[in-house]
Amino acid sequence: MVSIFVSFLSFLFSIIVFIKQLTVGSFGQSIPWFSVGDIQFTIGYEIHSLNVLMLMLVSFMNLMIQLYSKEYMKDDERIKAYYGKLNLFTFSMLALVISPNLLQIYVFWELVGLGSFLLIGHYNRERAKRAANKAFLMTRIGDVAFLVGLILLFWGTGTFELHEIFHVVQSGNLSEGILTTVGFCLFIGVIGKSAQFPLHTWLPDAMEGPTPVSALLHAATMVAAGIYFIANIYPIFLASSTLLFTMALIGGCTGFFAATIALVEKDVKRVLAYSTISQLGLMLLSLGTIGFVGAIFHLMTHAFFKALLFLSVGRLIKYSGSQSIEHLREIGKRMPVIHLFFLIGAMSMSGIPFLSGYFSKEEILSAVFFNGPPFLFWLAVLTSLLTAIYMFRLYFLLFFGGAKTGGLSPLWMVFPMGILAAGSIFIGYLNTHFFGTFFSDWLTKNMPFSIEPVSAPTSFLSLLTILISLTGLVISYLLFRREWLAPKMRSYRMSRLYRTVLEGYYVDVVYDRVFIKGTIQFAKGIGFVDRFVQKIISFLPKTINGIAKQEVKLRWKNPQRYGLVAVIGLLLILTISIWSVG
Amino acid sequence: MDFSYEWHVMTPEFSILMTIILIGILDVLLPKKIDRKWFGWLAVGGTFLSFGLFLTLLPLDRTSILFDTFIFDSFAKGFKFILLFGGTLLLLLAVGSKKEQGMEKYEMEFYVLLLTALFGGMMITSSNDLITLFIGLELVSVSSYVLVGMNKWSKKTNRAALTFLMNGSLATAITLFGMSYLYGIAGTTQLQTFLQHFSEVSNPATRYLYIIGFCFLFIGLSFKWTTMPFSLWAPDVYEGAQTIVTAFLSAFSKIIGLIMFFRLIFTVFSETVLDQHVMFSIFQNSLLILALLSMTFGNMMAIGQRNVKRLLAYSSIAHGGYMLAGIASFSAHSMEAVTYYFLVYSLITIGAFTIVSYITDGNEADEQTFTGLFKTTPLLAISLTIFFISLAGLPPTAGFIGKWKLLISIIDGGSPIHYVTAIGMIGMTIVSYAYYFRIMASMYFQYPNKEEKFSVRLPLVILLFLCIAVTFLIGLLPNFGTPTWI
Repeated sequence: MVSIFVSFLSFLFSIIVFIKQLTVGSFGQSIPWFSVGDIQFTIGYEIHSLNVLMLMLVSFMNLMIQLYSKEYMKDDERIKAYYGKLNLFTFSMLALVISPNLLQIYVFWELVGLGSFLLIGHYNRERAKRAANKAFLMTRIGDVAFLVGLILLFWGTGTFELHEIFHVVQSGNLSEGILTTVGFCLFIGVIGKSAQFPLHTWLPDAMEGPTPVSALLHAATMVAAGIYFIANIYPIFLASSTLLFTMALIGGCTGFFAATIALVEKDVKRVLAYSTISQLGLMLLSLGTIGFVGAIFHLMTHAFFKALLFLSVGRLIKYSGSQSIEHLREIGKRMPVIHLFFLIGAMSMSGIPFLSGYFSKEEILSAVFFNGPPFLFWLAVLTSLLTAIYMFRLYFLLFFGGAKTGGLSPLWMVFPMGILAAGSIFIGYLNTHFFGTFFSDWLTKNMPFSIEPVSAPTSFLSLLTILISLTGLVISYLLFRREWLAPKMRSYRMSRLYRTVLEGYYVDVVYDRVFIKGTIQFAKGIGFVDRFVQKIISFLPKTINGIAKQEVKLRWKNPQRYGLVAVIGLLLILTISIWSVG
Repeated sequence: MDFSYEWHVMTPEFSILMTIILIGILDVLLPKKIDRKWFGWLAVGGTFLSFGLFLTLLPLDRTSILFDTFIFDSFAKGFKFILLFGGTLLLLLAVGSKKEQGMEKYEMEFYVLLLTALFGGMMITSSNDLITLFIGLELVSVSSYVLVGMNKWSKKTNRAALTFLMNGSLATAITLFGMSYLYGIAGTTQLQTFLQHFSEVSNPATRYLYIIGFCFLFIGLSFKWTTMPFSLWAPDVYEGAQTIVTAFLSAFSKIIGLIMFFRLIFTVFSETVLDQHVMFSIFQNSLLILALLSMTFGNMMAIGQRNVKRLLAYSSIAHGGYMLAGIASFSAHSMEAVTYYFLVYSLITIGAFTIVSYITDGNEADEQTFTGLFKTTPLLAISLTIFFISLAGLPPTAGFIGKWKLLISIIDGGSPIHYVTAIGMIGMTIVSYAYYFRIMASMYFQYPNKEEKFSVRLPLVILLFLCIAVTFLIGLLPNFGTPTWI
């Protein structure tokens, strides 16, 4: 209860900050934190449109999730720890979005990772633990690159302050090469955090965590951090067209690739996880094609309908105790409220006209259409179509049929879902091309850097967006409700392609093989250099194990050997030193 | 001869010495049946007194007495602070120990030896002469030999003590040999006059002598702070010794070695004319490579360990590598960065070993003991988590800032090898997460093997509180941790 109250306060304060930002414009303050020699590091806060938007979004989502968790987690024996971790997680994210310098961002970036690690591993299950570890290590790979990027950037510009960095970047004093390298390193960090190919495999596994946590993770905190970060340091990416293109390419491909997996996945939550990966891919695609507003707008609407979807699915999972579609099938029939909420979420997400998702998707498509290469545009169109298909697949499978039992949903669950549903419908009207682009105007006005507005979508685009979603709906209806092509589907299930997609294109398996088992076989086919590299990779764990075994054998045996090693070392360093003096 | 020195600059040392003598005499005079538990508090009192006296001396400028062999400069101030603080923590750890930790039989010996080591360490920080440096070093070494072998009924301990003694005496011999070369070149044992002599050296042949001297000295000292190549003894000794003693070795003894090296290179090997600076850069590459090796070796080996004491021993080798890299990078900030890291490291390693010694009986420290600790004794589990996070160098603890400062100072060196070292350090930090998080995960996510609560005593609480508070204090306000007087 205390936790919920505090969350409420946090949301309230966010609104106050928002109002202040509306009236006085951006503001911020920094105080010196510590220094190394003559280099000063500062700590402070910065409020501009993007930050305040994230601030509200995160605190709002947190409040909703906490309300919902009160019912969902009430039987959990570690509920206190759960709320503690939840608050740590939200705190880190809130602190992340108001940070004015990169060092501070890095600190909280890590803390967000720690929070998600703790929450994913909340349930005392072997798989949950493994998922938590995987999430942590996977994002860690990205974070190494992230840190390297930070340090390079620091050496290029001599500062961590975002304002000053933008200044340096815009003055053109930084060479293109450094900028691209820095951007690339930072982008790898984002790939890890926002679960993009090839570092995406942790997110589906993270579904082992409690469902409200998944909702929070997907809506506002962990994965959104990556998108937010890119938007926050957008000038760096704007300065290099290579970077923008890479970003668009990875985003577009991940979007499509994850959507195909979501189409066949058998676990409800994993479907939603892949759909998040796919939507995040679209956001990156938008950012990569200078669709700044579109990406942020979609981030916001996505937060609403994704949280809504997770929470309504969570109700079903809570009711039946399983996450697999087979078990949950048709169970939603007797839960009219949940049915309604899920439908709203699915419609919004598929981009059915006049719901939130429609407007933001249209924005993204127009950015890609006007600024991106045609093939990426059609890829995005295809992704949107797939989105509609798999969302309604889920809907038709879960909510139709003859379930005998059903149950009323407790108020603690319905209330937050109702608000989210309202948001999923109406939040999109903040930025439409027939009522006015309030959101876009406000967002672009108060940023520390200028953003080119994207031209308004033509009627062709609007029509296309509508067409896509409706086609998706119809296809889905025919396939999964009417069960057209049912015999073909069955044979298709036997096919290799189906299995490949179901296994997530074997990315995980490949990772397993490459990093643990089959490195040597893989290397055989490829050239000598590759073989060499692969050997080193497989050699490392082996050597460690080998040495460890030797160490166990040798320990306590011959203490004089330790001295011998030292003496040999001494002789070596002596020889090297004398030799290098000449 | 004039004996009217400013003796008062030595009062912190004197008060420690007096406490040692007092405890020794009392132990002999008091009847057997009187409990000697309070000796610990006496020792703590002694260090407090010393600390107080030390604080009154802070405003002093650089002072030297005894023919310039004992100096009290900013360097001594900084490190005496760290040593006294660490020493107090160690004493508290011993006072708060349980019966099973096996401290009962050795009240007097332990406190006297620990204080002697503290005394030696404080002498080293102030020495300006090879002879006093060496004597200080031996005070520390000899007391640690005895401390390691204190539990004379355990076979493991005896082996550990023997290993330690054998390798330690080898190290001493090597150090002394190196020192003799330095003396041979300079013709004096005074560190300050060393500088003049070295700068006058123009004969190329003496260069070789100089190199030999340096290498021997370095390798001999590297025994103390456990970096490659003289680090292999550490796991055995750490495992065999009583955990309290292990804490002493890992935090205190290690830092004393580094302080000595720091003192030497900052006075003898660096602040010289251009020629000598080039001389140091010859070693610089070797030192950075050794630092890299230690990080890699320590972290890689730690992954495979199931005994927490061995694991921490390897992690201590890795940390030795980080600190050595900081010193060897030799840039404008390395002094500040390394000092900060010393402080942080000694705090968190004492904290970590405190908990390890508390929940493991006697010598054994299998990882199984930690399973489900959060369920039985949350206080200890959370504290250990904080220490581990700090050791792993994650924000918002002081460990992060420490690593960050080291990293900045290493990169500041500016040559390719510096960058390689920095990248290696980042990579190895990541590797180290693997084992810290493994233990943490088993503490939180698993159920305990036996439902046994650990009762927590007052001195332990004070100790943990001190460690954690300072870790966070200087982690969040790092300027606090680099006092202006350094």
